[in-house]
Amino acid sequence: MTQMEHAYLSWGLGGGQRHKLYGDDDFAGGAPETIEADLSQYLTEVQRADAAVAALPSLTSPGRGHGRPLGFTLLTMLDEYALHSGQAHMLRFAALGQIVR
Amino acid sequence: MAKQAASYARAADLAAQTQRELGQRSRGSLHHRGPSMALGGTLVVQEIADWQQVRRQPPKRTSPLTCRRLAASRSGLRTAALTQPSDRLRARASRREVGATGEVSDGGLGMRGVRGRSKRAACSLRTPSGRQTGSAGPLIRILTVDFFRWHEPAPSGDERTDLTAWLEYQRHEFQRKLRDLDAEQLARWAVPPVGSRCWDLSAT
Repeated sequence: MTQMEHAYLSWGLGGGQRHKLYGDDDFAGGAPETIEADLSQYLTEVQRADAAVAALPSLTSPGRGHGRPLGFTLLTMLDEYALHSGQAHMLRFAALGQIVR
Repeated sequence: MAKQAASYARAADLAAQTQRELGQRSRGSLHHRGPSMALGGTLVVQEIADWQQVRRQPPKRTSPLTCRRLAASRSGLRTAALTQPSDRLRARASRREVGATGEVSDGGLGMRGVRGRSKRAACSLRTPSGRQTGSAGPLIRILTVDFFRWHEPAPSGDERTDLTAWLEYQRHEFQRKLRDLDAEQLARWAVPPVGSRCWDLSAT
């Protein structure tokens, strides 16, 4: 979701330099040692994304990066979060070895 | 509806109690998510000096705030911001911090409607995985990212407000998936990745 926040919102709407946070492999996996850094990076990206959203005057305003309208982009992000939250929901059950809601 | 109303009433009582304790007011802008309960989340890394002590003496479930106070006072709980906390983190941390002495301060960020199991999870001061992750050594680190459940945003009449409110809600739901998991579990593959040795039949 860090990459999603960057591609759709912070860069997509705000413009600037586009990054591939995970190189060419989004599924390279993580490491316990980098959890804090990963989470910090995600939240920093969220902060940038919020700033990019706030900078656009209306839902029809095109993003400065990808050029798509703000409203469309927000809907896309909702879809991304719904998708990946569902996956994370199952993954955490698998990691825990039990269903803990 | 009656059950939900009762839940709201309990939440409001808890909010009032917490506010009295803190002497601060809740954030009114969160009314659309249900009663504001002055116990917002904080993104901090908690370092617990003696985890075993916390496990032996679980806090009583009077309120999430009290739980944290009790556990903090018993275990020498202390917190540290992330290595380089962003402004957002600082802002959130300023709303509520568990200090080195276990003191809790709250700038009034609402807990946004806590319900049974999630409240219990928030109160729970076990290891993130519910098990001991190592010896009773010091400084087991836990990430707490406002694991309280929020109510879904209600329609505001303004499309942009609704979209951003739902985005915030979905972000929060995503972050809540971290609860109960320790760092090792967070990084663990649920299934071996495609191409790994055990799934790559051509490698055998």
